[in-house]
Amino acid sequence: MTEQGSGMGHELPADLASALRTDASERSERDDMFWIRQRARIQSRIRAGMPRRHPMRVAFAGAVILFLAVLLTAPAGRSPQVAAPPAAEVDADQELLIAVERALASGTPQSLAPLTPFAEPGSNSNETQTIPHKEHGNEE
Amino acid sequence: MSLSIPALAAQSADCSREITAADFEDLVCRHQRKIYRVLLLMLRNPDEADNLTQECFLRAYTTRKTFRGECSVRTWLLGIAVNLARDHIRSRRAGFWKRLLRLDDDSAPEARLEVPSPQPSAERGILAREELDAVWRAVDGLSERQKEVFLLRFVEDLELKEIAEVLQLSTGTVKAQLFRAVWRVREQVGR
Repeated sequence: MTEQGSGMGHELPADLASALRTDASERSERDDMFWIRQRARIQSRIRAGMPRRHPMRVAFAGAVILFLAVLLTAPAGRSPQVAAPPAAEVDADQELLIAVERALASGTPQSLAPLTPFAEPGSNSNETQTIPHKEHGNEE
Repeated sequence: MSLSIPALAAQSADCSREITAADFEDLVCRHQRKIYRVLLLMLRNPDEADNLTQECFLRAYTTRKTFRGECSVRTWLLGIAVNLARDHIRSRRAGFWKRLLRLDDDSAPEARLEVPSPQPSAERGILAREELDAVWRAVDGLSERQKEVFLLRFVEDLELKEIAEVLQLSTGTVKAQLFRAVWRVREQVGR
């Protein structure tokens, strides 16, 4: 351990260090095709990594579109926070009035239709003849 | 990614400049061998080293905007590589214990290939093959941190300050780790 201070303890004998370096280089020696293939793989892995950005962009664009759509549709769709009107206090007279109005609006019911002879005089001769008959009765 | 030849190549120190996508191809070209070498020696598995080299550059590409040239590109890349190797070794260890605890007999033993020995060369003629193998065995026996320091110093020829930057340690710590690593290797090799 005394060598640590002198600095010699950090070094291998020069011939051993040199041989080690050469040996390491030779052990890791590969043909040109290996390095070309390795570079091609690195490039393809980099390229394969690139499309990962596209989903992010698509997601971002989608989020922006969604936000804009919400922004545009919100005024139309937004229901004003108006308190529901209190239920009208409807009394019986009003109910009746409303019912009559509805009935009138929906047309005259058959039962309430005016009598046909008054509506179309002369169209039915049988019924006009009954009146003189009654008059005759009175004369007797 | 553009494949143009970047201006980065002209930079000797490759510092003080933001890395653009256009520079990246050249950056890979210039550093892939040393990154692979460090990873191979740390992991001792060619396939894992190849995969992590790719991962290293992928990570470098995605974080290139954070590189501000405070250190060299080599130091920056080695830092990424060492971190990846460290994580990988830990997950490999965790996987080993998991398999062991499950007594999973059908799984093959650790798919750890021996790094092939290179063909004989003039350089290695000086030193016996056995001695080099003994050095590598000794390196394998070092702690994770010692191994990192040792490989960066003696394989990548980094200065202590650069090693400290790669490993994000103080120079003093690097010095101490290196001292212990060298001492253990020399003890085992007998030199």
